[in-house]
Amino acid sequence: MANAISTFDLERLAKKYGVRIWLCRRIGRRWSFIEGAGAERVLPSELIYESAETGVFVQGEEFDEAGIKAEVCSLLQPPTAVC
Amino acid sequence: MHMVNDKLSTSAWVNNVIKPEEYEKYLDNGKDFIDDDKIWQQINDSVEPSPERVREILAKSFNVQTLDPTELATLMKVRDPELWQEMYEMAAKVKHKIYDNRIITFAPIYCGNFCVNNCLYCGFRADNDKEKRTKLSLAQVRDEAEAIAGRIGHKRVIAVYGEHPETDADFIAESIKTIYSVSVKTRKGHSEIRRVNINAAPFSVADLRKLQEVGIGTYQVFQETYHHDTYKKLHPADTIKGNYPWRLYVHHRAYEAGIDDVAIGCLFGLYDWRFEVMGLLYHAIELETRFGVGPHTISFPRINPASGSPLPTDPTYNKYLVSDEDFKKLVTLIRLAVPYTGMIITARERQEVRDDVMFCGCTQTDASTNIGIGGYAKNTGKQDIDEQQFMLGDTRSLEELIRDLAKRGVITSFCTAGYRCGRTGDQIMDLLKKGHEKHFCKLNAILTYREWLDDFAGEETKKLGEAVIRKEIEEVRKKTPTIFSKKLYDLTMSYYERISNGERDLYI
Repeated sequence: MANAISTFDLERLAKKYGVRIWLCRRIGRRWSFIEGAGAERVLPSELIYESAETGVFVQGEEFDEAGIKAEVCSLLQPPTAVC
Repeated sequence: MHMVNDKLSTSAWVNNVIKPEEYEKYLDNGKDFIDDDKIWQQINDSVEPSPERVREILAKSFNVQTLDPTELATLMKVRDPELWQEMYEMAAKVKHKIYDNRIITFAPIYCGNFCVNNCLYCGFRADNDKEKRTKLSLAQVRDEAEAIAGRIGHKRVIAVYGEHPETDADFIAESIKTIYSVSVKTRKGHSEIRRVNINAAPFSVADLRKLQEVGIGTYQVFQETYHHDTYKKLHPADTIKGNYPWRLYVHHRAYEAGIDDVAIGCLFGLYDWRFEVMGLLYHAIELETRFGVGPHTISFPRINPASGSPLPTDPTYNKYLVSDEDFKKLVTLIRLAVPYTGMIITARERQEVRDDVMFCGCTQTDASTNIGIGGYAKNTGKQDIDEQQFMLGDTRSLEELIRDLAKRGVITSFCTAGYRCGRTGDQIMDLLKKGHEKHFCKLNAILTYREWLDDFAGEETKKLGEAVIRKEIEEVRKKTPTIFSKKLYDLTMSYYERISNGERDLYI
């Protein structure tokens, strides 16, 4: 599976929203790490996007959840994806 | 005639397993990464170190840096018992720094004992006529998983298979799906197996993809011995297992297939333990260097009596058997050499050995273990040497183990969170090396311990467990907000409350 979101985009989103963000592939009941950006912190992992194959997790203290969700969804076309 | 045809088809299957092109590309001028002469030279050239030199090396371990082989060889030369005591204590500190105050538990499920190989130390070997051969049907696999999840309360298993067309990659994939599909009602909630690791033959990339697609946890393959000549003597050349590099490079193929947690190990007692520990380190370094991800776990079983095995397990006849004292040393050395890795000590070991060595850096162990095929559902409480791969040394139940750990202030964890939110591969390596993962370990240990106590514990165990859980929660509270943010603390406590009210499988 090709990465559904570029390294550049992950780094940009991590910086803009002050979060750790990472892309995963869904395999059965597990999420397998593909790539991420932003510093690791001891915070809850929030699944902000998921499709049949892909998931995007975010860790952050105070961040604009709606804003980052909207940006991730617009990057991860097709628009039928469940956000 | 039917039997002849079966033999022919098995023989055809065997001939088609090894794909030389899948390991030859990794060889350097035809050689693999285990250089026997170099390892012996490193061991022989090292001299007894000064206490200062030992402490320098221990400081490197504590900073979660993999040791280089000459440093490991140097530690092997320590003779002063007081320095060894420091090393035992440092191994425990390193483990605590990376994984906190928790021990993960699991159960093995033996799914079949058909095997085409003839390893001289193994009860499953093809020439062992005493072994009663069988394979679980998928319905029986379900029965086993239900017994483990519903009666004992484990959330993690390692499914074990011999190398045979009866238990090929397609069968393994189906059995994993079956195990994952189980859910059993418990006292206050429900229980299921949330992580299925496997111990199986070294497969091709194509077969490994089948296993990856059904969501296996860790793929565990042991080299058994890293010493080439010993390997050759113990694994007949006309068998699949006789091919050393096919086995050695299976973790490389697993990474190629997209499996991001692999586990290595060797069977101590086949060759000199010092060489084997060096081999494990070289293996870890090779995986880290080539893929950026070292072994998720390392195992270090010692050879035990096995049905029909011609290999002596009496020290008079086998000079490589590892004494309890040397076993404690080798476990400590592995922890210090590969500080980030998980380490598994199993019920092969006697209770007194396990209770001692577990605190030299081990992170995982099994309990209520039954290694007979279909043994959990039968639940006879007896071991039969002709129905299992070897004899167990510690038959404590999970509840007994949890109670013993609780008396020592240790929390038993059923956490499987990491691989369900992408803390795998490079990401988990990074978290482990920076010492962040322990914080997730702590919180998820609390949540899963609460589940187990409510669903399975007897009164005495519950009382001991409540004291442990109160202590752990208090530690988290004290570290909020310096280590744990207010947001994380509040979320954990809300999950804790919901679990106490019967919800299950909430994790951080």
